[in-house]
Amino acid sequence: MHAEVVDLMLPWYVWIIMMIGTFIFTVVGTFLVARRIDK
Amino acid sequence: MNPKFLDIPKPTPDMIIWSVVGVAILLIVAIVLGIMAKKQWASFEEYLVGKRDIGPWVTGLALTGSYISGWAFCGSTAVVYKVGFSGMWFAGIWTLVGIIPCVWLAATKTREFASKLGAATIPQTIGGRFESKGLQLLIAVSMLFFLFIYSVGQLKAAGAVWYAVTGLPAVWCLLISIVIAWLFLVLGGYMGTQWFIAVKGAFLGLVGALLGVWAIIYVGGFHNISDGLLQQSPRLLKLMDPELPQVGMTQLFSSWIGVLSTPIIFFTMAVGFPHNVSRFLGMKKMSRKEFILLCFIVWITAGIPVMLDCSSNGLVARIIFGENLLQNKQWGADLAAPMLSWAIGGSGLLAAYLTGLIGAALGTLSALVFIMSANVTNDIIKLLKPNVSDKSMLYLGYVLIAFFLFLPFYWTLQRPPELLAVFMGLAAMGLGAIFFFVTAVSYYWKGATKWGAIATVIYGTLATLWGGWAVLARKPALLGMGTMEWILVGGCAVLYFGVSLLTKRPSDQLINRLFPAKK
Repeated sequence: MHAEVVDLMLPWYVWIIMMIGTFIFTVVGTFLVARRIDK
Repeated sequence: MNPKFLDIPKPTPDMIIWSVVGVAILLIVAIVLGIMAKKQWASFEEYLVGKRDIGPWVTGLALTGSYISGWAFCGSTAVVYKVGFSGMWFAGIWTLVGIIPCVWLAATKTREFASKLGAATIPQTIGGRFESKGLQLLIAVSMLFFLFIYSVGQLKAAGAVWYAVTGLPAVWCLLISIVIAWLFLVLGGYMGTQWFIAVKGAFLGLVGALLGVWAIIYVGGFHNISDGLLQQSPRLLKLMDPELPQVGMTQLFSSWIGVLSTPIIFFTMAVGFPHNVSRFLGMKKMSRKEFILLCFIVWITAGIPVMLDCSSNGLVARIIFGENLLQNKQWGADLAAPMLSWAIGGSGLLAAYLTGLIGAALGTLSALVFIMSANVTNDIIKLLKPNVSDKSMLYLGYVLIAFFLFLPFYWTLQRPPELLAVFMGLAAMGLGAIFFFVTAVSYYWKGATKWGAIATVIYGTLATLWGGWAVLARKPALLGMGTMEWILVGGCAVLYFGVSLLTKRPSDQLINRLFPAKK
């Protein structure tokens, strides 16, 4: 039963990791690029 | 039809009335914005680029509006509905990886270069960057070619869904839409287009996020979606489906070469699309805070809704409708997103979705048409005959806008010529691969030369034409779409850098002006 739940959720874990990954990518990248712009 | 799942509903008076009201409001807003924007320009240059004083809100929302086309809003959900999780890599997950770097790499530089060079269009900016009128002309012609092909399919999904939902012929809805698009493009010029696309971008962001979150809650969360998919076919749960053909378009879902090419496709397309980069031509000089706000606006309106629309929505539509939508030979999977909005939110949400879809198609088409018209007037005729009056250029522009709007409308009702239909599939990839280097990389690399850019444009155009035949026209396909992307981007990169290293770069005077030393 437990193994089946994990299998069903596996694509969603990847999906959620991608969501969080792109969020971090956006925040960090924006911060790095914005540093080069005058205040 | 499988009775276990919902069937396509017959249009009801409720659905028709709400849909007509939604689209009417959209078109009234478009006219009002066009009339308001008329006061914002007084010369041909201001018509083409405004006063270069547009702030982060309008710029960010306009970028969202130009990037989210009818395909992104409707076709991508259809891909995931058809193939399951393996389609989401292509359809949605990577979208953010493209659109945010577009702001990082192109926003401030496009504004800075265009302003320093006194340029009103992207070909003029790049021609000035390389001190080459020949390159400006070549880019204008190439851009015209690609944007024309890309524009042909823009109204198709909107027309199809309008008919499927209301049962009313699409001809009147689309005809009224393109007449109003012509009006606001003629009245408002760049500013009118920017405002309309911005309003559309905000609306799409709202409807997209609402539909995405609502759909997941409606079916009881992630586990229920997976369970429903498993009952239909375990293949729908696979993150990559090797049983799909390894050549043609399905390579993007069935092999590592295809899956790994998707971030490259979206990255180069978002950064390279001239209709995206053109959103920054009329932008004001941004402070650090305003730039961060710009990124945030794009992320919240383009990123989240597209990720949901293009991935989870297709899956939810699949568990509600099963394969029933595929039984419809005429529209098939394209009905996944609108039917999902009807299933979970009734006529009201369906009307909001349909309004968003017609707005998406009309907004992206307007952005493309305005650039094509400026390509001809400013970058071809004005370049070859500088003495032609601005008034003549304006009037010619009005005629060209009507022409470029009418053709996609005509080919939505009549089948587009076979050859055109084949190239449409690869036009977006070709545009991205060429202009990522010729535009964005040229803002940063001093060593780039006009010959490097010319070689890239010629190679990219020829490779796209060949790819259209090899991937989409030839039966069976010679290679996959992912492989074609690597051939396109790889070839453009080798030629752009290789030829630039072997040829003479622009004068030091220009380079020092465009690339000032850091203080």
